[in-house]
Amino acid sequence: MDQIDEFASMFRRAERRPFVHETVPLVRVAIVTDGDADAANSIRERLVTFVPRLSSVEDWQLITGDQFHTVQELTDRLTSDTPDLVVTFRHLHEESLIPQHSLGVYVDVMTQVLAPPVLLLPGTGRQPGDFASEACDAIMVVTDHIAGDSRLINYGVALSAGTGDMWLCHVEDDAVFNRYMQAIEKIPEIDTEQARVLLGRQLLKDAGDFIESAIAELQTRQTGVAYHASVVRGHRLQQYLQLVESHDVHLVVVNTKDEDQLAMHGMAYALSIELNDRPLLLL
Amino acid sequence: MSGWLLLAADTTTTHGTVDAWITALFAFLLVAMIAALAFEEKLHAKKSIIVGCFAGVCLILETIISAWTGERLVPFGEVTLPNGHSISLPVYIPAIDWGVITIILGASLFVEVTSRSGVFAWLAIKVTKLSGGDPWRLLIAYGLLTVIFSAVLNNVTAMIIIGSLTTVSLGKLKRNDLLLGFLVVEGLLTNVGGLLTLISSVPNIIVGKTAGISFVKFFLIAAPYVLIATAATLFLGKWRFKIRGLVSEQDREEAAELVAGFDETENIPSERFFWFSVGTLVAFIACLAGQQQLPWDLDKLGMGFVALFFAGVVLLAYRHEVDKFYAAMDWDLLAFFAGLFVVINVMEHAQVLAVIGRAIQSVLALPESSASSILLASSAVASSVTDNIPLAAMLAKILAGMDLASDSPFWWCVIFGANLGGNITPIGSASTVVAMTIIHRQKLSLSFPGFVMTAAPFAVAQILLAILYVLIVF
Repeated sequence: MDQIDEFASMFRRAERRPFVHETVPLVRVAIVTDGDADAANSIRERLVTFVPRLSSVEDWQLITGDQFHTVQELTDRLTSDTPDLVVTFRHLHEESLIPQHSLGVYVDVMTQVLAPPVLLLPGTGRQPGDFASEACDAIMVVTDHIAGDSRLINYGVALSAGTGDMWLCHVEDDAVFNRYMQAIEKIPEIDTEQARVLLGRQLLKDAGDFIESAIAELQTRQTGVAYHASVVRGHRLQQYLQLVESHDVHLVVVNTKDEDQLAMHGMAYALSIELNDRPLLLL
Repeated sequence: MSGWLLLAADTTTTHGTVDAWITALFAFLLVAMIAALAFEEKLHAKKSIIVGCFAGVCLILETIISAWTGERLVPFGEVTLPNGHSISLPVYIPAIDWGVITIILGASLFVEVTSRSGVFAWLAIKVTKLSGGDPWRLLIAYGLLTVIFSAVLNNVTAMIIIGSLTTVSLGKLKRNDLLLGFLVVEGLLTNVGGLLTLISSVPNIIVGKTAGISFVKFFLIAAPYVLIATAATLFLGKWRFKIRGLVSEQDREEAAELVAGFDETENIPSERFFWFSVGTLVAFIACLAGQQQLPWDLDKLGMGFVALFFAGVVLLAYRHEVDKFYAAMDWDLLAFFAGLFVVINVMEHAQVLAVIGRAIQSVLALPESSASSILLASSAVASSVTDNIPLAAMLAKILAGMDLASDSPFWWCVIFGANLGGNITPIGSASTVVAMTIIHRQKLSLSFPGFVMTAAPFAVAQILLAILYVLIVF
């Protein structure tokens, strides 16, 4: 009866979830800041420089510090305004001048409760950082489960300046892999070396296949961006940080929502804490 | 057949006279073995062990009885070869039909190696994509593929391949509500497909070889029936399990997009080996079909040699790791056959087959249409509760003793009955056992009586069609 499982595995392996390109609507954008209207307008201007496509936004909603006082108040406002994108900072309504080891309660809740993505800019609500000396032409799309998730890549494409490079990255966690391998090493019925090779290969293959299909599809659309794949196994946080540094990435796109989690996803949270000197798009 | 009938008189055949109590004793052992095979799962013992035990006990008993009573039950002595030389062999070796064993060994090995080329998975996925994900078209596609795979490979492998693909593809199409219907129909079609060629199922090999039916003749007689029975099963399945085609254009587009996601080339390790496998598969079938027309006396090597030869050819591609393929062989099945042939040989010498043969002869003495119908139906019922292989082997031996012509309808009654009987119960054939295993793994509810109730209309229709077909053709 093992053959049933063998053939089922073969057919599951043959399943592909191809990348589906969709144009992301960016008509309404909300900027949430601790500052006043002038500060919000300044952010808007720099934002348009950073993401040229935002120049065509029809409806800018500038939510200044005096317009909200509680998380509930802010989320209610954003839910009723239904923006396509929320732009904000860490530590809203907090005293922090430099980012601490958290994002602040406002951003934490926004990423989990609101449907639209959150573009997190460098700095804090009290002291915004610098981010728009030039147009965004180096983007990295990062996720633990990139296979089948076209949305992340579509947002990356939507926010690109139409030039430069985009890295589609996937890092399989070495620690998890080694933990499972240690268990497999103690099971006599499983060939350890074979398991190590096949499991390692298959883990990277799903993400690799999806990224390949995405690149193939995007290349046909002539977006003006050069796409690169990076699918490896290693220490996830270190690998991602290294990739960001080595490619001088301007914008990192990362998934924050899991169906079975109420808090922001682990790797997304770690990255958003570590990468506080550049914009992050949290989906 | 009752024990009283056996005890009533001595039996006399070409093998000489045997005391009735001896025949009755071995008849009891035969019934016990068939019952043990029927309760294989309950006994937690593999077929080869069950039959091997009975073969050993039968041989020992027959030898002891021969020694005590002076009856020459066991043909001890040297075996005379065609060239006139004599050779000393253990008494159970000539009892085994090595022609059948070599066909099964060679064909299984050949299929095991060629399936590694990805050719069957490629075909299965290609057909899935061609169906566009429409449930009714998918049922037709999988039904036809089940029949073809059962014919070319074997029933069990066909069920495993198509059953596995069905679970994956219906899951992808989010139509798990149709899974039970698909799996039942596919399980039932394995036994229909198993009728298509001489090597499609073991009863075909045993009966066909005993009757002297050629590969081509077998195919020409069986193919029209397989076509009709397949169509009937598919339409019955469509009605019984409410499997409908997609109506709206949007549904069709969505389904087509989902199945288009399958990559048929994923499981092809080497394009070269893929085409090599396709070529050898075609050549293998061609050689089996034309085996009796092979020149320079090559036909005398037999179908078993053809199967072993092609197994050897494809093994060359994996010459450094042939042990993997040897290990993957179904040795339980092969040992089961060897043991079974020994048991049948013992039964022949103990005149058990002669007694059963006389009972069958009384049925065959009826008008031919009645005789055919009764033989086919009773073969089907018998093979529904126990393994169809011992039944086929026993009936083939008995019919061979009646000097029937190779075009006698009775051979076909046994072939149709032994194959189709497997559809009456979930234990009637190995492929329906596989279907039930997949059904239970998918957490679908179908009990033994549930299967019988579900499969009954299909099995009855197939058996009635077979009776009609035999009456019309012969």
